[in-house]
Order: sequence, then structure tokens, then C-alpha cells
Amino acid sequence: MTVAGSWISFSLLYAIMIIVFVTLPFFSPRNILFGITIPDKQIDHPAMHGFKYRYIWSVIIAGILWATLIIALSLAGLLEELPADDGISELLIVTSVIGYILIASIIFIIFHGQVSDYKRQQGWSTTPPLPKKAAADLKFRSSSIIYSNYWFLPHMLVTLLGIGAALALYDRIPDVIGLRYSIEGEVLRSAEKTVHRVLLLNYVQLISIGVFILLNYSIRSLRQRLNPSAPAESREQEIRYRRSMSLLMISLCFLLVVYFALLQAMTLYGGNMKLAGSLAVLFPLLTAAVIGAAGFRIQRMRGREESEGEDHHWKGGMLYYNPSDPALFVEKRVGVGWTINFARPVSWLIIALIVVVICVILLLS
Amino acid sequence: MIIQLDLESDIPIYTQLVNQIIEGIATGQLEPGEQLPSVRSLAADLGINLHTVNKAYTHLKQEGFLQIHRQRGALIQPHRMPQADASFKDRLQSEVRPLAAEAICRGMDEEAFLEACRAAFLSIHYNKGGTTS
Repeated sequence: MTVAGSWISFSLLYAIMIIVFVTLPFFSPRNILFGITIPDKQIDHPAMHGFKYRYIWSVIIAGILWATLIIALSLAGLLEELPADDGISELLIVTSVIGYILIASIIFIIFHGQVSDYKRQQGWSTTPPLPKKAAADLKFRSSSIIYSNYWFLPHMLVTLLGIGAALALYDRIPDVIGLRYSIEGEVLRSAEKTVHRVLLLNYVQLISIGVFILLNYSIRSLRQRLNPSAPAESREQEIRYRRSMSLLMISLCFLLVVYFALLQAMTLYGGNMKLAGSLAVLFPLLTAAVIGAAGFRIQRMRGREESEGEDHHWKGGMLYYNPSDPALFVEKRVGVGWTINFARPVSWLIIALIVVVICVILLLS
Repeated sequence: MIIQLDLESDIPIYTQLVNQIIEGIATGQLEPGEQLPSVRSLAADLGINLHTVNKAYTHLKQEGFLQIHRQRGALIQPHRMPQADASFKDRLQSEVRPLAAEAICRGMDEEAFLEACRAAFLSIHYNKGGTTS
């Protein structure tokens, strides 16, 4: 990889991670701050703004310091055997970004603790009265609360076309195919062509479609949280929220599938590798922008969370562990989307499955 | 059809659930053969214990209002709804009797008592096939 390319991918990835962490506290129900329930009257309390302000600066400064450290050590040649003028290696990019994610998560957890302490000092009620009423729609899941899985047909079509083309044009594909490329389109690693190597990106497409169908299904099966004093209105709100999340998942999956199809076409049948390189960078950026914009719109549809007094079930404000809750998927408190109830054994099975899938992909490539 | 429970009521939660499902069948909001949510998912939606929902479903099954299939879950009785047999009439008598007694003590006359009964009956009967909420 060349010097400029490596630094571009490093700074892009790094900037996205900083933006994600800076905006994290804003993607929450109105009455939740760092995973702690704040009484409605105190949402605009100056101390709450202070916590947010200090958190934002902490993650930015930590990001700058950590990046400076990595850059300095890498320029000094202390981290790798490679000469410094080769730029920063991919391994170092990945480890430094993961390092930043860990640092920023620790900062988040510290602020979670601070808000929790502050709430206790102020004597804001931590154990609200038990709910007096409950409401649920018996026909919730038979009404159309998500987009049907038939919307994944175009995705399947693109994938099948890719497979068909690769098999039909197998003889025209060069005998040695590139497996990894730098940002400028140079081949970093290549191997002799085999059917599996040619179809590798199609396998990835199929796995992504499977994962997104599962996500779409989980949007449907999530528990409903109706406000017992206005069940019909909150039902409408939930349905709007779920349908937009479902649409986002279907579009996102389509972006991914098309992205892999383009990459496959350009690596197998030749083409402008410079273009492919910039595409490889632009596409994830586009995807991040789509998620960000849609997430922001969907965030505004989100009401306040009704489950006060559940703070202690959210470990560090991010992980949900509640043995008395029969639900497997629950809405995230921080960030947009859902998370799993780690008190249910099935959740560990899901995590194991994801790890296995990632390992299989890494081994195949 | 929206189920609404009063968690602080003297009436047990499972009884409230049973009553509302039967009322849903009576008004036609729940149709014969229609699938009900699984025990686990309804318990999660309402934020109540699994066993409470299970008890309600089991009770409804014993009364003949539900069928519980291994694969398809709980269904509203698709064939013949339980009829007003002798044992139901006995229960109706024994449950109306204390209310009648109290109405007499409170100085209600026969007409007013029957009017209240009729109003309850008709409000469910006229709702038939009506609102879905």
C-alpha cells in the first residue's frame, strides 16, 4: 500500500469512529442519558448538558491523543518492522481503530457512572412506582408492521446474476485473481482461480441477505411497548417506527449487495482498478451517510422510553441483562436499533454464530 | 384488538385476560381460527409473568374457547364454540345471584337491574364486527 492511500483509509475510518462516538448520546430516547433514566423535568438541567459537553470533548481529545501516539510511534518505526515511508499497515489501522473504540467505550462507561451517581445524589427517583396498567395489541404481529421479505427478491436477483455471470464467463476470468487490493487498486494478494474464490463475494452477499432477513424478522418479533393511557396512538407510533427501521434494513442490504456485485465485476472481468479503489472507499462512506441520515429521522420518531427503573438491567448503559424479561430482542437505550438480552442463553448462541460466520469468511478469503 | 390490564385491580390479571379474550370473541374482533400471540410474546408485550398468560390460555382451552396446537400455537376455536349448557347456566345463576342480592339491598328494582344486564349484553352484541380497537 502506498503512503497516501494508507493514511487516507486510516483517517477516514478513524473520523467515522469519532463521529459515531460523539453523536452516540444523542441517539437515545429523550429521557435517557448515557443509559440512565432522567426524570422528564430534569432533561434540560444544566448539569445534564454539562455531562454531554464534557463527554464530547473527552472522546474527541482522546481520539486525537491516541491517533497522535499511533502516528508518532509508527513514524518512529517502533511499532512495525516496515520502514516508515511505506505508510501505516492495515493491521495497525485496524488495531488502532479497535483501540479507540475501547477507549471511547470506557469514557462512555465513566460518564454512565457519573450520571448514575449524580442522579442518586440529587435523589431523583430511581425506583418509580410499579406500573399500574398494561396494554398490548393481540393482532400487532399480524398487521403489517414490517416490509415483507419479498422485498429481498431484487437482492437475490443481483446475487444470482453475479453467480450466473461468474460461472458462464469462467473461462474469460484471468487464471490468477486478486483477493485484496490497496486503496489505489494495486493487488496486494492474489491466488489461482477456483470456483469458490470466484464466487467468494457471492457467498458474502448471500450471508448478508440472510443476516438482514433475520434482522427484519427480529423487528417484527420485538416486544411492543404500548403506553397504557393512549394505546391506540402509541401503537401507530410503534408501527411507523418499525416500518421505517425495516425499510432502512432492506435498503442497506441492497446497497451492500450492489457494492459487492460491483467489486466482483471489477475484480473478475477487469476494469479500472483505480475506480474500483475509490469505489471501495466511497461506498462505505455513502452507506454510513445513509445510516446516519435515516437514523436521525427515525430518532425523531422515537418517543420517551416507558421502562423507568430498569437502569440496573443495562450494564454500563449498553448491555442488557434482565433474567426476568422473557424478550430476546429489546430496543437499544443508546444508539439506534436493537440489542439482545444477555440473560437469555439463546443470545449467547447468536453471538457464537456470528463469530463462526466471521471466522469462516476470514478463512475462505 | 388491544388488551388493557389493570395491574392494581382486585380482579386477578389472568381473569382480566380471559374476560377480554372472551369479549373479543363475542364482539367478533377475534374470529374463529385466528391465531393468538405465543405465551412468551404476549407476556413480554404486557410486561407480565409467562405463567399468568399460560394460565389464561389453559383456562380458555379447558372452557373450549381456544385450541392449542403444537405448531400453530393458540387458536380461537375454529369449529363449534362452547354452548350455553347446563353447567354454564348454573354458573351464570351463581354469579348473578350475589349481584342481584346486593342490588336489592341497595334498593334497585327488578326493571333497573334487568336494564343494566341488558345494556351490558347489548353493548357487546351491537359491537359485533364493529370497531377493531
